[in-house]
Amino acid sequence: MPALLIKERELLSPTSYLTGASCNRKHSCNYKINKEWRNTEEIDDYIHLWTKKSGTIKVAITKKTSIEVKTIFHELIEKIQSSKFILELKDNWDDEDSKGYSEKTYVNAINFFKRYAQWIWDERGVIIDTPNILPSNEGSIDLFWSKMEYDLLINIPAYPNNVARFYGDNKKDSKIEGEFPLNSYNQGIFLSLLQS
Amino acid sequence: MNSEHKYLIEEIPNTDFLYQRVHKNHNINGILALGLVFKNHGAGMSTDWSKYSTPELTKKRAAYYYKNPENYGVINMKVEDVRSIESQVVKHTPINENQSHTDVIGKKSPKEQVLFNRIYSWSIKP
Repeated sequence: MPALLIKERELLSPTSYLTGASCNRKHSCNYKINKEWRNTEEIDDYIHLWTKKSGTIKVAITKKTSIEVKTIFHELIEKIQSSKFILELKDNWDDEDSKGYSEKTYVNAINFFKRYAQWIWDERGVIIDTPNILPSNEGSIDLFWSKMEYDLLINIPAYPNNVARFYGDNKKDSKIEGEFPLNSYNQGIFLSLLQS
Repeated sequence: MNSEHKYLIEEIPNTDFLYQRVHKNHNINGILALGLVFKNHGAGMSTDWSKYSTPELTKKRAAYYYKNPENYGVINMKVEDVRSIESQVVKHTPINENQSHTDVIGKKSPKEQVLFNRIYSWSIKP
């Protein structure tokens, strides 16, 4: 099936069409491929066009606040669900005098990842790994990718501070380190690791 | 030995280990909150030298700081591995209440936190 036809046709849920084999793309989405389409690369295009089109989900982080996440980044939804307890941590929550965390700082961390993941999707058609979202020192929040191939740690400062610090390497010969303002940075700086 | 402390300051061999308490809330689904575990308290990151401590003693020592030992686990790091992290200095800093007390001196930025994360092992899980 030509890719052009796929792009032009009405995009319905893949589950309506596809059963049988797994999507071949790196992010290993769960959609299945119909046997008669199994050997066509266009199937992947179909799936990704569908996921790109399929909209957003609102994820509640407090009773009053929610964050919109595109379904294509569904792993982020799970990470938000498992990390939003951070907002319940008040000063000295660990008997170690650690500070609590503001909603603004948490949302800044999520939004940074959303923007970055979207940019790489738009530019490269790749869905990057989703980081762990962890409480850090002085009310800041860490985004931590701990993978077999690489580690990357980005420290999102406590609001209203704006300068994030980072370090990452591929556990071999390539490393990056530095800091950047959250609202203005070179979007390419993490590409070498996140696409490795 | 100086006039303030009753214990000698000793050289710590590379083959020995350092023990460090980790609060149970800093172990999040098996992943350490790096910015909270690997950070300085004053002069450095407080640890205990294996020559004068055990993981059990390090855990119990939380009570000295008016904290509940049951809320803590203990990690260990080989001294040689700590010293392999650029800018980190392992210095025996005994205090009257704890001959094993050792500071790991040097900045704890994201780089050092990632590298510490690669060299620790659990002695006692929280």
